[in-house]
Amino acid sequence: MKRTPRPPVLLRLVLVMVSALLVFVTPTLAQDPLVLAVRTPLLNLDPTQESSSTMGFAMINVMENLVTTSPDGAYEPMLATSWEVVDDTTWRFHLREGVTFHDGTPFNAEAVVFNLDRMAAPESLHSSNFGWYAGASVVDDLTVDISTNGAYPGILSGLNFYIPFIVSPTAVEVLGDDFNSAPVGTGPYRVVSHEARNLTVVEAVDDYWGGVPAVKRAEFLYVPEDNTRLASYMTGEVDVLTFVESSQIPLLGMRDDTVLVEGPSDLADMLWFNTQKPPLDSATVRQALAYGIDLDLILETVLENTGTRYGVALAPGVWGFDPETMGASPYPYDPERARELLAEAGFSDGFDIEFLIADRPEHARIAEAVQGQLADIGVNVSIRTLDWGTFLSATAAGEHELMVVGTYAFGDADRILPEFESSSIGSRNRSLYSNAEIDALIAQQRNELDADVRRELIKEIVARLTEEAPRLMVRARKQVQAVNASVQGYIHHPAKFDLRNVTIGN
Amino acid sequence: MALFLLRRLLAFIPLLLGMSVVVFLILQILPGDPAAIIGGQFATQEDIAEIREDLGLNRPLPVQYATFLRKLVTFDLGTSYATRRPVAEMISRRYPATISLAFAAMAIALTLGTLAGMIAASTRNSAWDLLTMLASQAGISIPGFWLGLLLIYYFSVQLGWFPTSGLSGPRYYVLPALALSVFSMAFIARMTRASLVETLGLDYIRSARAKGLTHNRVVFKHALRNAFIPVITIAGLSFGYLLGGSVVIEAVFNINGLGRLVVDSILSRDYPVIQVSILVLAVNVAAANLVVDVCYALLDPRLRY
Repeated sequence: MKRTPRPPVLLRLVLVMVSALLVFVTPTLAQDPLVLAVRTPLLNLDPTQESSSTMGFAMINVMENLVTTSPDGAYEPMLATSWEVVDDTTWRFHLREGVTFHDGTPFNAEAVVFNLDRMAAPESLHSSNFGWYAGASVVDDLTVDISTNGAYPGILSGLNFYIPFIVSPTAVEVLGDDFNSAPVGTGPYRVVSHEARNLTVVEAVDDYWGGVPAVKRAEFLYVPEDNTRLASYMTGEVDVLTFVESSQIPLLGMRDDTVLVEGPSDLADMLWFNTQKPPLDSATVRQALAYGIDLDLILETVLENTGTRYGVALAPGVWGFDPETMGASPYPYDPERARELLAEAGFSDGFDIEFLIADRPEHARIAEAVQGQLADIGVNVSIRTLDWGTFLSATAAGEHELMVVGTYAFGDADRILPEFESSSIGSRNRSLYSNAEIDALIAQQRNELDADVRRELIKEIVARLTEEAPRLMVRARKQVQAVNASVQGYIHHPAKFDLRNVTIGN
Repeated sequence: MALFLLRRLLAFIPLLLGMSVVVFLILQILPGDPAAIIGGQFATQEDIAEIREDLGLNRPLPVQYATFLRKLVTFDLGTSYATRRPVAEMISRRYPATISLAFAAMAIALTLGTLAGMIAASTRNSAWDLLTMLASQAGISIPGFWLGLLLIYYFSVQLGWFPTSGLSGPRYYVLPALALSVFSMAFIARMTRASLVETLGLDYIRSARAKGLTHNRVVFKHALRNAFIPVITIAGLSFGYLLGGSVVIEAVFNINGLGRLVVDSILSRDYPVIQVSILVLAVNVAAANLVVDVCYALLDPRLRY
């Protein structure tokens, strides 16, 4: 005879197990250290081995430069207190007195020479960025002369490198390979532990030359997943979201416990045309596309107004930017004009074109909007998505037709202008743009010491580039950081997570 | 048995060699250049050429592979391109998180899965059965990352019961292990039910019932042992799935484990780290299968190796 089934016995077992799980449920403890979530990982902490700007943003608290910039871009003393021009190719820097590295090594002229040589050496990842550097010599313990290859007015921008690099010469020698995880600088914090791609912990030093910071311990936590980063901020596990994804801004803006700290970032997103692939080799066609893409609308809707648009080359944070001639976007949306220009270039029936993007949600949204708008003027856009690594190689090799990628929006004009030089094709010149006159003008401004003359040269270069439209500015990015209301004094800076004035209170 | 184990362990060697060749070749086919990624967006071609030289990427492929292999047999697992740390150190720091999470998920999947399957089978065609099977169908279909985000939303953000990320205490295991286990749990539940239903229809079960044994005694004492053999197979296979699933779950719960390391390393073309991580995962899957074979022998006395 069949027995009636009796599930409740088993059901009770299930309940016991569920309650066993509940034992683990206890309230979340408040965080003691200041936890900052970063979107890109910290890998190498040795300035000669790292090219990620996030590392520079975080490590400015550990290592410093001779000069720095205020949040609005003006040069300020840091480890150098003053400087003067000796001759066309020599600058003299007077160094701050009484500064020591965290390992006790005194900071002096010798240390400056050591570090400049180290950054410019072939083993350094940045040797090409220090192409301007011809050598340095000790004048006395706290005075150093730096020579440049030709006259180089951009020297302050060069010294305020995006990755701070003045480190203890003793530590470099003593620590060997370990220096990469425990760099020794002069900043307000020292590195306590560093696990690449995960967590970097810093601790305040008690004899920082600029005063002891209030936050004693800070952690830079790598959280790659956008939603998880948001969730860990919302639960209080993270105090500062150093980068808020544009789609998350509305949600965070509604929270009472959150202050959105924002300002211009050091990056601008550009829409690049490959000027060597027909039909984009024609300036008329490029202008037609420029009129046919409503980038203002894209910025307003797709990108949640996270930035401002200027001309094709420079953003306001850049030395050489001229508000009068570069202040507005030169190509307002005008599909009529776009069709006329296309007809003029012999493409009244339009053409097919490929938009190459890196695997990033914002880029995909931009590309889709562009695709829709260009369809109206008869240009068929197909979108191809690659992962970041493949994207870098493919666009350096010029495989793209259209693409979006960020570039600098901060520092000296000479940080940006190489993007239009034919000698940078294959690296920074992602438009593969080649124009002998532009090349000559860029070289000329590079070595022009008279600031007024140099500004005029830059204006001329930008005016010509505007006409040529090798690329368009999608936006000079606004950087938004979400900061828990209990954290005070977190000031926006385009290139720093500056912890010096931060306090945690109620 | 000892001989069998030894033979199986020796078979790991050709398996790993084969794996290493396959992984090495796949990495070569993969587009993108590690040096370009290290140099970053603003690097010049000279910079990138120097990095390639430095990493030894200019050498012919067979030489690169031979070097990798030669180092491997001397237990030198190489140095990461991206972080310049020893690969052995990077992996050994992350391995415990992944393997403990896989075990936690396995424990949840096995207990809840077999329980649900047993309930369903012994109450066949009842509402319980239907409910369990519907739930397990859902469990098989739900993508882990989506479930993970939902769990974070309700239990971390809304209720504040569990932390969203990390793995620094028992509390931290609950959500990720649950999210990771759901697929295997559902699969095990269905397999347990199917196998148990089949076993309960066999003659010896009728004999047991005829003796007047209680329903529970028939199910637990007589049927279960036989019904478990296919379940063990599924559980063993699931273990590989759990290790693979860690790639997604570790990203969602921000766990610093091998899965996230593999993803990050692939994105940055960190060849040495990818190669060794995959080998470590392969060894674990092979070991899980070995455990399954041993379990067969324990469950079924007729099986001898």
